[in-house]
Amino acid sequence: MELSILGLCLGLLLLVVPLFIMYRYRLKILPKALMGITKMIVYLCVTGFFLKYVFEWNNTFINLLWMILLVVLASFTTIIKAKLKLSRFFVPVCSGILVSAVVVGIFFLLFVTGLKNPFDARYFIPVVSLLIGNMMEVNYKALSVYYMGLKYHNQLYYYLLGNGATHSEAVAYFVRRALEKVSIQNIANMSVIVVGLSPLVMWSMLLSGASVLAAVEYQILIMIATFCVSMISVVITLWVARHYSFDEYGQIKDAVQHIDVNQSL
Amino acid sequence: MLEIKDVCMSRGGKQLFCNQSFVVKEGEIINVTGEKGCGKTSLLLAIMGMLPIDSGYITVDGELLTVDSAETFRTMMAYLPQNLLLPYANISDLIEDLSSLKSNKKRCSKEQLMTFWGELGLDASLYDKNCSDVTMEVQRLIILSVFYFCPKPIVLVDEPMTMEECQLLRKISQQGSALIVTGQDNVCDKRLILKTEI
Repeated sequence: MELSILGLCLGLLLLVVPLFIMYRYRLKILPKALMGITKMIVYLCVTGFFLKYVFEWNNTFINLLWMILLVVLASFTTIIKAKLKLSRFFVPVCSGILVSAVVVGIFFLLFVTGLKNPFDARYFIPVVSLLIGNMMEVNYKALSVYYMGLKYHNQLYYYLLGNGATHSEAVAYFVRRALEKVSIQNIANMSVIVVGLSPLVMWSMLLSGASVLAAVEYQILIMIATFCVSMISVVITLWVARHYSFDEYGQIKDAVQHIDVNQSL
Repeated sequence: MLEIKDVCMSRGGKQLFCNQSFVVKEGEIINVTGEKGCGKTSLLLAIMGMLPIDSGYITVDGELLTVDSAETFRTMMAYLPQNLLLPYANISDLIEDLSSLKSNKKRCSKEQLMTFWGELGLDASLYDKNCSDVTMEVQRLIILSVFYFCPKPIVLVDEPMTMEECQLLRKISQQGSALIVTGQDNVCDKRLILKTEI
């Protein structure tokens, strides 16, 4: 369903209503709202411009490059939102997102949808983008929980390590907390869908003419795939981050926060 | 068992102590004392391979403690830190987490532990209590009671707080463990006073 220029303009005209209300009630967020709307339009136009060519070329290599670009952007956003050091966590977060999105995305396209070529731009890019986009919000919270836990409860880590725990045993409490966060967030998203969270995949598919049954099936499967991707991504990120977060003596590096062992123990 | 030879340590550019040596054998308790900030806790961390030493060496059963061997040697150690700010909800979680570590070859049953607690004057109802309702002194006794049932060759205790704790440390040493205890000198066979230079 293509939009006419007039239809597009009339759609944009709807913006006048919230902007007028903001102006009428002297909300101090008017400049921020204008900036946000402008950013959204610019970002989507730029993305659309490139996507147009990506879809036209439909080349596996370019599609993979597009996915890597998304992974890099998602990694930046996740690290910044989790308030971690970019230089130290870029590789672990990137690895987590990339591996989980590729593995789950290809499984989904190859076995669930039954495509012969899972790298077809029409399917590969939307599915991988949905997975990466949806897991971002959950993952930054999980990483934040893990590293804040290590920062504020590092006594537990050193105590267990001193009692002969392996590294995995010493960080198990924090890993559990992070994975609980991922699970709870995903389950909450699933349980409030329609009521609290709009099933965007389903509505988009219905808009583009898919049957109701297919739209519902895809919505359910995308939610499950997102849950799976989030869990895998956090596990891989924490596993890779071990080499960047602890020094050779098992001390937590200042990537998280400088910790004085004498004070913390 | 454990030998510290000519060890010097510094933290943040400040020298803590230098040329310190001692040997602690099975069943012995050595007390490490010194002024506040003299490096008692740092020495314990160095013995666990969790802090570097500037010079000298540490050996366990004649084997050199290094960055690579530290994790293996830590499986022979039990460690009770000075401040117990552990995020466990219940005492049962604290006990379960500690006694279920892979490095503990022997696991203590709840019945054994309760009988031992009776001897120590600890109430069995403590087991199901919230950690926040139990004082740090009692939590330390509870951890030491787990050490008693899951014995390790080397036990490191930072600043014992009570006489009951000191008595329990003696019981642990009588099982054959070598103990390095900082602060309190109520219970010891040897004493080491940490000084910057000798």
